[in-house]
Amino acid sequence: MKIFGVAKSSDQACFEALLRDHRRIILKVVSGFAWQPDDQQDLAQEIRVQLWRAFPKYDSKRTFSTWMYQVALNTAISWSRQAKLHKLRFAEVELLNEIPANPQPEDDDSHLLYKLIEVLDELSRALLLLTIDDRSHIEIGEILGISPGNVATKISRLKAKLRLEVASTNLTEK
Amino acid sequence: MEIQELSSAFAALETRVEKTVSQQSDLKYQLNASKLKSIKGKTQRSPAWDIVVAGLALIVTGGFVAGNLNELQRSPITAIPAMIVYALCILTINVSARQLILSSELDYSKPMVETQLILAKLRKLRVRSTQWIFVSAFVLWLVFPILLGQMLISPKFMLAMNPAWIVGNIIFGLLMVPVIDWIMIKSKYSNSIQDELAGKDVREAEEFVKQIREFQAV
Repeated sequence: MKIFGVAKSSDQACFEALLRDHRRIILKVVSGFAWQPDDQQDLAQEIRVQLWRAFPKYDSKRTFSTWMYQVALNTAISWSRQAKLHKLRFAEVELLNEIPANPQPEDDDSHLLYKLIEVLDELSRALLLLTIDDRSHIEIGEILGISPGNVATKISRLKAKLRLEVASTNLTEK
Repeated sequence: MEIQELSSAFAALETRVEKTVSQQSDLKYQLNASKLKSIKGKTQRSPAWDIVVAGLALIVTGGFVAGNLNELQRSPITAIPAMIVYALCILTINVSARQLILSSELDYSKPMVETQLILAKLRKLRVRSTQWIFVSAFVLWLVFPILLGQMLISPKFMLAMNPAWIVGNIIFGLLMVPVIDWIMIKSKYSNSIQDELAGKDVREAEEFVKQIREFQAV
């Protein structure tokens, strides 16, 4: 199971079953970090590959969803930072083509959601995703690598920031 | 919009993303397509190669010095190119080994803050080594043909060269470094190597390390 190219088929079957059961985690992480359809496919693929690579080291005593969140968020942040550098490099080309930043939002809620996510840095985005998913402070702390007390503080600051952002968006729209 | 409302808006978003993402569900296809795309793979390949090249250069230079020790001792100035190549090789091995160690510590299933810190340090180290190679290539390129001439012809080969020409080349190289750096910074069409040479990527990595430290603090 440890060598990438010669994984046993039973391991792969087990992995695919776990992945199916927890597919919403991938969707959630992808939703928080990628907005273009191509980017979403690219990130989802990268997450699945990194999960498969990390799978031999997975300790079954741990909750699979916690482990999966760690790999998925680490992959998404790395992917997002690379994408950001890439976008900065080709910003002028993109301006010429006038590609909208977020072409997907179709309703007001999604539009507002994108606006809120955009103002957050990658680490806060990860915190938001875990909070929305109703994870306990202990689990969030384990995934992010900070203490549960720190998680509580960060969540309350995040909520305050989001409220401010919503208020300013509403004012702008009025 | 409170967390609860955000949560339902997010659920709608996920359903939309599911349609896009489910088009690519064959894991085997993804693994094959991504073999060369691994972030970890990208950071590991080059340092290993650098260590091999620097190690070989060290062995060849060592052989030359050992074989011509008496002659080099009689005229110590002729040993300078070999000493510079030695220093460059040791430095390269040191930086590359540090990169490999950091890469081996990289584990995506570890807490996010820990993994992202390693990634940021790795990026910084890689950019710094690119900058170092760039500077040394401009200033010290002359050392390599001189050493080659000493190996192929005679250790005294260096003495036959015009000292003014050697010094002139080193000064020209030194002057070129800030000029190229300025061009890179001002360059309209940037790419990753240019960004690394201009130090943009280091600044970006440092900024991210700062962000992580702030996130860790209560």
